[in-house]
Amino acid sequence: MLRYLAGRLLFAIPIFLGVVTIVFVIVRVLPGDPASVALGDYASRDAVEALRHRLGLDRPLVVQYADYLAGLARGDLGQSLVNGTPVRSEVAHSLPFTLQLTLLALVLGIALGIPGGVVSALTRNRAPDGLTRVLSLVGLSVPAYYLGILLILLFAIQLRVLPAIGAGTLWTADSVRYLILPAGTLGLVMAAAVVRFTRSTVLNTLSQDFVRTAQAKGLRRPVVIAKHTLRAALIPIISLAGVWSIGLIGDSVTTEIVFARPGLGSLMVGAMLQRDYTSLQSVMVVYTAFVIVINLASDLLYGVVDPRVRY
Amino acid sequence: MSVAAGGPPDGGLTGHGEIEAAERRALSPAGRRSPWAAVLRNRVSAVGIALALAIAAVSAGAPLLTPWSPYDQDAVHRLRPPGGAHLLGQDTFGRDVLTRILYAGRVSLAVGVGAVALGGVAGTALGLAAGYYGGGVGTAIMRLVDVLMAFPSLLLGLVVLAVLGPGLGKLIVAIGLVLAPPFARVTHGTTLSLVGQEFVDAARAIGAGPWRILGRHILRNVLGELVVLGGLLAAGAIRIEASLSFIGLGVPPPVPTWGNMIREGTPYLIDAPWLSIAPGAAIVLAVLAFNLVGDALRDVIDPRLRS
Repeated sequence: MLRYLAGRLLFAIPIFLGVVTIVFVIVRVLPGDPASVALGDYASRDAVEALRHRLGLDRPLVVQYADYLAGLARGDLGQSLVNGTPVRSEVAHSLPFTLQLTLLALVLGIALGIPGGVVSALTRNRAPDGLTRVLSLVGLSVPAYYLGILLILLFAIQLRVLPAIGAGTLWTADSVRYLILPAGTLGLVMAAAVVRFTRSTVLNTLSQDFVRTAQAKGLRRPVVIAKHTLRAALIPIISLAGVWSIGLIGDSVTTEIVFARPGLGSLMVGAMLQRDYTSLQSVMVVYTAFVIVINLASDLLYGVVDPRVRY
Repeated sequence: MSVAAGGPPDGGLTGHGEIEAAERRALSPAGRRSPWAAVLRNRVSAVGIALALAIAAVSAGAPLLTPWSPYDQDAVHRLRPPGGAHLLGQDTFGRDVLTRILYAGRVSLAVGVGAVALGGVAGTALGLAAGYYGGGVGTAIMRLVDVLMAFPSLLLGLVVLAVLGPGLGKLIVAIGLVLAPPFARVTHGTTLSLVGQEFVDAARAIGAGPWRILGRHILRNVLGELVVLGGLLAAGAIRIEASLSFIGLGVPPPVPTWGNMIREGTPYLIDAPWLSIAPGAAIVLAVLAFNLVGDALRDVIDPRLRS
């Protein structure tokens, strides 16, 4: 187990370094000099040069890159170009909101998606299956921010039962009310993908020889389904959990904007609009670190559910 | 009845007859059923294809379908609700919402087709090169692909577009870059499994160069998979375009896109919800149509996956 974990970690480290490097390269070729953007059109050349010097932008790219990596290794994400605050504290402020949102959405997506897919497969070509298939097909085509707007219209503007925007105070009972609509939005979008894949996996498993054997030896249907079919079907489903989570993270950016929630997505879009590229770069790095951790976790989980995987 | 006669023991004749009929169908070109016919018989696929064609037609033919231009302002009737001459109402500048939705379809379709073409060509070239030459270059290319695929696609598109700046061409380049890695991965896998096969050795033995082998022997065998992938990714490209323009990147206003229309509508959600609802519905229909077209392409080209 430890060796397997170490192997996966060794694979993750170069990916992470690659991600950091690509983001650094992309962001450094941004048009417009950040120092002159920060000082405005009427700044003197000397002032711009002084700021460039203070930010270290006049040094060779390789030196800036090495400096950035060294900073990352110490957990230092640099300073915001716009207001000079350490990016780490902005990320630390935003991260819990995004974590809350995506984790709840992940739980919702799985809790709705897997049972939905199983019911759909077991009632193949009958009414419940038809309904779930139509819903999941539409769900796969609805952008998260659009579903969010529709839910705001219904629950916040028409029914006035839930708040449309904001996040409340973190970790209070009150903040749960603010979490329901955005997490529901993301969870529903994710569930659409989970339902579709679960359905086809369960159908596929039901036609396997070992399921027929289980039926032939006289086991009751619930046992055949729960112990033989579902357990086997769960393996490919879990292998896709990482992919769905990555989609979820992408969707969380637009969802945070629609619900005006603080979070990494709002931080990133704000940084982008202000050309605050140290922040932009660091938030991207945090996001991809997120993705890499998720992939690692789903690899491990895969090993746990699939007895054929030997560590 | 004798099993030795060759027929199956239970009612040999019918079994034989069926096999013969199937063989006849398979052998005579006239009797062979076209896979397209099977797809069109599937009502869901047919609806998807019709919907995609309809969206393309109304976007291309927008000037013929509406008397207004997407930029005609009408300050007196700003935020007028749907009904009357303006079927989907008017926006905050009094522009006709339906007209803007029709014209916005052009941006989405251009991005859907352009980004898939660009990403497909770039990714396929990389995958072919990595699979055929292997070694250090191949490994380097595929590690780059791994790294690019570690980004959530919207975020990668967002950062690239932030660098490139606004504009339709740049939008296509940014989304094309996001779509290239999956093409590279599929092509690489198939190329690897093909380069060792005898027909490639045979081609090499008669003196075919790498271009000829890659183009005529390997690419031809990957093409089906690539078309299927392209169909599915076109829907993804339209989604990403809409998300980026919702965030405020991509084609700048006043050119309408479905995403920027939703964005401009959100401040008026209470008084004029149609400003956001209508273009969002257009996104759903377009993505749905292209998802169904992608499924249909898969059914035609890869019968193993047919459900």
